[in-house]
Amino acid sequence: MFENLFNFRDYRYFWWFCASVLIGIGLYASQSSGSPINGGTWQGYVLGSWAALLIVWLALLGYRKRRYSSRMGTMQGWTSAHVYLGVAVWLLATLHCAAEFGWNIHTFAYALMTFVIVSGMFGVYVYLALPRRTSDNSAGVGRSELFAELYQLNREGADIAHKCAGDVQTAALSSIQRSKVGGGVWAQLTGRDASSFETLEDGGAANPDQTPIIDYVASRIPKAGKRSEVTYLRELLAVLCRRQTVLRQLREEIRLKSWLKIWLYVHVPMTFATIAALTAHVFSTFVYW
Amino acid sequence: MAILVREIDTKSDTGALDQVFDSDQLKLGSATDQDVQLVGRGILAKHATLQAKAGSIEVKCNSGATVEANGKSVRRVTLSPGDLLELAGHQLRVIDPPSGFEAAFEIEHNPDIDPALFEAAFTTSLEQTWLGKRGPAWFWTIAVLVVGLAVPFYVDWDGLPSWASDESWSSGPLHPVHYVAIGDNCSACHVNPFEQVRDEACTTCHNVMSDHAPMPLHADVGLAAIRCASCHKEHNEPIHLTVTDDALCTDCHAAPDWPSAQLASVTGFHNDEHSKFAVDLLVSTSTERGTGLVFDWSIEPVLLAEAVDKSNLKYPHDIHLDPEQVRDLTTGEPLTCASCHTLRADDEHFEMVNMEDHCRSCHDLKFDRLAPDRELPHGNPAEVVLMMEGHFLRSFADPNRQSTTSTRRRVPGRNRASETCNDDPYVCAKRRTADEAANQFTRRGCVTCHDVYENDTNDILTRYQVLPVRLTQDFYNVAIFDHRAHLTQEGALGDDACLTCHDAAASSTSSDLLIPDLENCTACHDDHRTANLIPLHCVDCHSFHPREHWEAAGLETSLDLSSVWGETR
Repeated sequence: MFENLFNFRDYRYFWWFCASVLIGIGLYASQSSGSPINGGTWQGYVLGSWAALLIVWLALLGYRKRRYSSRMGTMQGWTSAHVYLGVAVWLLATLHCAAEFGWNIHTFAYALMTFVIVSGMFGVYVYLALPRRTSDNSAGVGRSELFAELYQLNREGADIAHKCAGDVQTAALSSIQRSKVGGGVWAQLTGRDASSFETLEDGGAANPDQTPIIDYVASRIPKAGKRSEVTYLRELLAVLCRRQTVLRQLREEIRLKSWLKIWLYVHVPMTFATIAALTAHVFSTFVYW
Repeated sequence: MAILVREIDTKSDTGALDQVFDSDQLKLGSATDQDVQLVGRGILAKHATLQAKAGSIEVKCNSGATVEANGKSVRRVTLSPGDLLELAGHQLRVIDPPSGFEAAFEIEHNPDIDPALFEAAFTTSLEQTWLGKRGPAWFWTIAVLVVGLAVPFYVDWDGLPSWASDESWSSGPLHPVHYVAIGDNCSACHVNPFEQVRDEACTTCHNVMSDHAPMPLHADVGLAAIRCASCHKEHNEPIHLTVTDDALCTDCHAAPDWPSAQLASVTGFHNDEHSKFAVDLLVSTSTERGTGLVFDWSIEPVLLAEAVDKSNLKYPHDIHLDPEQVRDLTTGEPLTCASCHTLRADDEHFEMVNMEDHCRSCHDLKFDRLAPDRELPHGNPAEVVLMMEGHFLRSFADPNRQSTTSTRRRVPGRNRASETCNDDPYVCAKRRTADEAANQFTRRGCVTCHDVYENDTNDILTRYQVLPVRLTQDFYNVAIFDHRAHLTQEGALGDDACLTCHDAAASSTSSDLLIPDLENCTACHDDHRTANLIPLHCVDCHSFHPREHWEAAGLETSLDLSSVWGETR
C-alpha cells in the first residue's frame, strides 16, 4: 500500500489525533457542572492555549513548504500532521468554548477557523480524488504535448482552410482563432467552452465543444463543386475532429487542476485572517480580564 | 489604410504568403485571435501592438512584455524600413510599403520553436487570473486587526457600531441588573487593562453583603487569594452569577479544620458522603427551686438517631390519626395533618400548635358536671385552683343547691360524697376543690396532655406544677426545605405525602421526633451520579455561610464584621 497523507508512518498522526481528542475530552469533562463551562476555567485556558499554539504551528506548514532544504521532517510527514491536527484543533477549540457562541470577536475567530478547516478538508478531498481523474482524462499525455499538438493542428487546419472556398475558409479560420481554452476563474473551474466562429451566411456564432464548426464543414461536403474540394473538406474535418478531442482533454485537465488549487485561495488568506482574529480574541480576553 | 504582412515560408514553393490587413494597427501575440500569431518562449498571449505610420511601425509592448529591436531589448520603439524586430527567434523586418499600404513587414518564423509553448497563448492556471493569496491575506489580516482589535481598543466613541466597538469583545451578556446599572461601560469593572477584575469593582455597589464567610476570616479558611469574580463570573450564557457547584462547598467541607472540629466532613450527597443529620433540638435541664422545678432551655445540635423530644407535652400521633378513635367533633371527619399543622408562607416552617386553636375543640376544660358551661382557664395552675374554689364556694353557698341535687337523677353505684356536703359551705368548697384539683392534675384533665410535678405541701395553690411546654420551632436550622413542593409526590398526595417522610401514624409518644433522616432524602435524591434520582446541589438545601450561623457561633462578638455585612441588616 502506498504511504499517503493518512497512513504516513503507520498512522502516526492519526494516533496523535486520537490522543489529542481523548485528552481534550477528558479535560472538558473534568470541568464541574455547577459553574458555567467555558474558556474561563483552567481547563478552558489549557484547551484554548493548546488550540492557539496548534493553529500557529499549522500555519507554519506554508513556511516549511518553501524551505526545500529543511531537514525538519519530510514534507509528507508535515502534511499528514497538518491534516490530522487541523481536524483536532477544531475539536479542541469547540471544547475550549464549550460550544457557546455569540455575535462577538471570539465566535468570529472560531468561524474563520472553521472556514479554514473546512476548506482544508475540501483540499484533502481533491488531492485524493482528482489526480486519478487527471491521468484518466489525458491517458498519460501531458499538458505540453496536448498544447503542441493543438498548435500543429491549428496550423494544419489553417493551411487546409486557405485552400477551401471562401465560406469554409472564413468559418474554419475564425473557429481556430476563436477557440478558447482555460480563461477566467469561472471558465477554468467549469471547463466551459466559450469558443465561437464566424460564417459568411450568419455572422458570428457560438462554437461550444467545436461541434457547430464540425457540423458546418461536414454539411458542406455534399455541396462541394469539385472532387479536390471534397478532399480538402475531408482533411479539414479530420483536423477539426482531432482538435475537438485535444481541446476537450485540455479543458478537463485545466478544470481538474483548478479545483486542485482553488481551495488554497480561501485556505491561505483565511488562515492569516484567523490568526489575526485569534490575536484579537486573546488580546481582548486579557485586556478585559 | 492597410498593412501588408508577408510570411516567408522556406518550405513552401511560393516562398511567401501575403496577408493584407485593412487597418493601421495590428495585434501581436501568441493567442489565436491575434493578427500576427507568434509562439515562443517569452511571447505573451497579447504581446504588443504595431501601429503603422507613414511607412514606419511603432511597436508598443503590453505590460510585462519586451521585444528586441535591432539587437536591443526595448518596450517601445519606432521602426523604419530595414529595421529588424526579434521575438523568440522569429524575425520581423520592416520593408518599404508597396503603394496603397501604410506599412509593410516580412516575418520569418523560427523553425526550431517548441510548439508546446503555445500554452502561453492561453490562461490555463488560476495563478494567471485575478485570484491571489498574498494580497487577500494582507487585506483580511489588516482588516480583522483594525476592526477587531485596534478600533475597539483605541477608539472611544459612542457612534461606533457594536461590531467595531469593544462590545464585540464581550463574551456574553451581563446580568440584567448589572446591565441596567453600568450598560456597556466595560471599564466600570475592567478598570485597568490586563488586570483581573478587583473586588472593589463589586463592593462599590455591593457594600452590604450577606451570606458569605466574613472577609476577615478568609485567611483562616484559605480564601485569602479568592476574588469575588473567582466565584461570581459574569458574561455567562445562561446568565449564572452564583456558583452552584458542589465543589464550592466540598473543597473546604470535605475536611473542615476551622473554626474547630465542630463541622462534620461532607463530600457529596450520598449516605456515606454526607454527615448524619443532626437536629437543632430544644433541650432542657430542670432544677428544684422552692416548691417546683425551674427549667433552663437551650437549642442543642443532637444527632437525629439519638434525639428525644422533651417538650413536656403528651401527644400520641397514632391515636389522633386513627379514625376509629378520634374524629373532628363538629364535622365527624377523621383528623388530618393539616388539622393542626399549618404551613407558613415560607413553605418550610409551620405555625406553632397551640391549645386554643388545635386542641380545645375536643379537649374542653370542664370540671363540674353540675355546671357544664364552666371551663377552667388554660395555662395557669394557681388560677385554676382559685377559680375552682370560687366556683365551689358559690355552689355550696347557694340555698337552692339541695333541691338541685335531690332532684338530680343518680347513677347507681357512684360515690357522690364530694358533691353532697352538709358542712359549712366554705369547708365544703375547700374540700371539693382539693378533690377536683387532684382529679385534674393527677388523674384526668390537665394530666392528660401535660406532665405535672406534684410536691408534698398542703398548700393546694403550689402543690401542682404543670411542666412548661416548649416545642422546637425549626429542627434543621442550617437547611432549607420546601414542604409545599414535597406535597406532590409520585403516588402520594395530601396526608400520604406527609406520612411518606414523617411516620406519625406509628408514633405513640411525643418523645418521637418524627423528623426524617438522611436516608429518607437519599431515597429520592443524590448529587447527580445516579439515574432515576433527583439531583440536588449543596445550595439547594444550604445557604452559603448565612450570617446567623456566624452570629450563633459567637464570631461577631470577637470580630468587627460591620465592614463585611454593614451596620444593619
